[in-house]
Amino acid sequence: MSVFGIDFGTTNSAAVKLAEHAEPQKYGDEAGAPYPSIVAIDRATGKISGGRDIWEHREKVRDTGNYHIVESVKLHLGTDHTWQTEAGPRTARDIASSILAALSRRASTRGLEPIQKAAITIPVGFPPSARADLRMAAASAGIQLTTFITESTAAFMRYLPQLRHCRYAAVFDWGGGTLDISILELREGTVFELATEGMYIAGDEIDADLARAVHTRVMERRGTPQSFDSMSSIDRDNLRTKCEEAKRQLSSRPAWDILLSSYGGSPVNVQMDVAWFHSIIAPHVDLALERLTHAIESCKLSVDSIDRVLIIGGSSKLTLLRDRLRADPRFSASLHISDDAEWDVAHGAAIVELSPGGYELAESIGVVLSDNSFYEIVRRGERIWSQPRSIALSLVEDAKQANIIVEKRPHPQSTVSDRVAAFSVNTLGFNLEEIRLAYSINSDLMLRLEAGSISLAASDVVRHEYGKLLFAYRFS
Amino acid sequence: MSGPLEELERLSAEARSKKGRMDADSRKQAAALLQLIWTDPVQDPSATLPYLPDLKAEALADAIAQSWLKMDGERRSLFERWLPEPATERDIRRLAFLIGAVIATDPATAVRWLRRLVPPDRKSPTKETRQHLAAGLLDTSLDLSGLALETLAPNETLRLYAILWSVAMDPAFAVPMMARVRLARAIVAFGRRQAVPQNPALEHLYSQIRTESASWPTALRNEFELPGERTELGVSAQPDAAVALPEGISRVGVTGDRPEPVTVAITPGSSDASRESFTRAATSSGSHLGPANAGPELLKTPEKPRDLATGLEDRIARLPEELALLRGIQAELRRYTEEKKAYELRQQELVEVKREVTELRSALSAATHDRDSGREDLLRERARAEDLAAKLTQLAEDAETERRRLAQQISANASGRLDEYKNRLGYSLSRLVKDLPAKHTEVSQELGQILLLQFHQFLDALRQDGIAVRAGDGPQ
Repeated sequence: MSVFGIDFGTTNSAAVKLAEHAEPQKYGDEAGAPYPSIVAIDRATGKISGGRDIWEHREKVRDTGNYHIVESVKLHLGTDHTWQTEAGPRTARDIASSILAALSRRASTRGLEPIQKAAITIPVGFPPSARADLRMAAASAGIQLTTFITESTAAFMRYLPQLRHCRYAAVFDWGGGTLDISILELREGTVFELATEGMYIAGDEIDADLARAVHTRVMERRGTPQSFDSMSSIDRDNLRTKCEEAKRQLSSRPAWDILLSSYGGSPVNVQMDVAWFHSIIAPHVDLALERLTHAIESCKLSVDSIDRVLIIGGSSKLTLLRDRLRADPRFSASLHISDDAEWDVAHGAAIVELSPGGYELAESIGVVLSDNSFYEIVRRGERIWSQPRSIALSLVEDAKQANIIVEKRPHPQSTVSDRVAAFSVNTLGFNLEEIRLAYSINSDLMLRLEAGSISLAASDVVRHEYGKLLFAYRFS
Repeated sequence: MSGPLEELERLSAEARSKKGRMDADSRKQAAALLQLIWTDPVQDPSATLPYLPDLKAEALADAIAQSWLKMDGERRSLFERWLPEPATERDIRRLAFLIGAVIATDPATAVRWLRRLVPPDRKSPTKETRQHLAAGLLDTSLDLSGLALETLAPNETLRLYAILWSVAMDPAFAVPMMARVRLARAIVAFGRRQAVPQNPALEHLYSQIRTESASWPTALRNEFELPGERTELGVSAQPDAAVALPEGISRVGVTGDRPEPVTVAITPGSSDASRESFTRAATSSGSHLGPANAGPELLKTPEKPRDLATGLEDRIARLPEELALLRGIQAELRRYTEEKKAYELRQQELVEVKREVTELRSALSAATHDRDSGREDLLRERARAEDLAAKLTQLAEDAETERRRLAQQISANASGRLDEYKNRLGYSLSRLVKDLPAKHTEVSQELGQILLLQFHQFLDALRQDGIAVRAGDGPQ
């Protein structure tokens, strides 16, 4: 039996297959790296192309004017955004489907087995509508989505044997497009996500900064005050590619020559040494570490109380980041730096698929009654279910509308609460008129509410959805 | 709880668990324990009462047979109070065996218990009662004459004897011949003591006994013959010389040339005559129906008065002849005794042969069973072997299919890996020569320097990816 986990990332996507008595198989692009999530949509034909080629020549392709370039489709899922082509509009769901289909094809090419079922990772707080879009995109690509799993929990599951003893763990996932930090608590076989932090400064931004720094030095040498953005797209693409290569080479060399036969019409030869490189990326690294500290402190925990800091993601290979973490006495003892940083999340998702656990609600949901009391309808610790349950409420005063307020609390007695929904339903207004409130939590981890007077027509039923519930993952 | 009682409790529980079955040792042990407790004045016999119902009837009967005379009146009374009414088959069986146990030592009790078993107001005993009477009472060793109590009305005694006789004669119970003989003797002895012999019921019993005795061996049959017909009583065995029989009595089974014991048969319609003769025989002294000195008197026929001297003469004249006859009879008897011994020897041999035949049959049956079992085992093993062979074939086919699939997969995977390697190398090199000028571009010194450096980066990249490239002898 083999199972798949898919990391549907902002800049890169990856799939990992696990099978009994076999090494994990990684599926990405044709060069064996994670599949770039960038796509180009042909404005004339509507054809969606993706992969490493588009990534390498994205500026050039964009400048042709014949394509829509979509770099981070994940951010568009669940929105109404479309890309117009002569063959009709293309939605984020179409693009996500093409990326997932490309991964499936890659798996089929490598192992004669396309991806049929998989667990797919999502960021914490991924909107309900985006989850629904992703589920449908997977279905269009011929993949049955068995479960969503948050990226940080998947990363944690990847290293569960090493982290099982921990009480608190931090997952520091610094990829190409985003930095995602999660503070996890492990209690009685359940992973609770205590806090998440993120920023859109990651590998791509670092590449861009490197390119700008080199551009500035070149212009200084030439004495030409030309801005980076005014350079041709080919020059920008070429310089960025050379800087990306320099970033890669400087992890193992003291210096690297950035060579261009033509940049703005003249050759470029700029040597970048580690000191200069570090001076450029240091603000990003410092900011990332500051975010890590902030995330830990937001849980009212000290950095020392974190038993393990799991460092994953493509940008976690930066030597400056590793040096800083090793030099920091607060982190040095708890560091767990991945050797397979770009594949950990997909690998963790495959582990979840292999021995599925399940999500349970990490907070209590209830209805606020007329006396301001909290009437609990979903207990903390309940597993998700899809069949609606219902409760009967009744009017206690002569009114034409009933106001329904649903809140969530860490536990029913807590005075801290967050509003889940507040809406009104029409009533006939007689005393003790019954209002029925139905509720369910579906596999997209979304709370659905339906309320209406049983004395009125179905058209008077009000529906509401809420996707920011806090869940904990119970592993088997 | 005392030791014997504990042991008795164990035996009782064991018998209960085996639904009343007890092996010979257990039965013997239980009887001994009961005897010990019931005859020991120090022991409290009432403590054994709860265990008695579970014990086998024979065990209890053995115990009572050995203890009854040693038990005082109080203990006997205790036992009788406990003795359950014959409601169930087990109670009936127990009571039947108990009657047999005390009949020799305490006939009054035996009769009392027998009347509980076959009450006067009941029309006829049930089949179960009859069966257990046969097993418990009609044993070859029991003397049933004790049933004829002086204190019991003769008709009641007769009723009891009649019941026992009907049981004894029932072929379904296979009562041993000697038991029937003993019962017949008891009945005849009882009849002999009766003041009024012409009791129709008794006569009927006599009639049945006579009929039955006709099939018994001569020695036994003689006990119940009409005395006047017995050769040893000095009556001529010559058919021609036979004395006249009472009216209604005829001879049967008389051979021509050899004196044989005369058998008397009661023919239909001759019951009055036979009753008279039988009754006279029964009322005479001795255990035989007809004593030796009763013959002439009984068979006296009317004769014309004779002269005494003439009679004596005749008698004297016939004495040698009679003497010779008697010597002949004596010789015949001797020969008969020898033949009987030889017959008994042959009987024993026959029994031995029968036993051997039985053993051989058992051995044959066991061998047949073993053979059949062996055949079944063989068939089963053959089927199993065929099944295993089919499974093996299927497994081989599956293994071959799996091998082919894996080979294809490995091949595809290896091919995919190789493609990935090529692509990765291609992409690495492409990044370095992304800005390579066209072939016919004019190369300045600065550009040439850059192209040379790029070429070295190109070679480094090849080396990094494991492709050994030997550079020229010039400066590196």
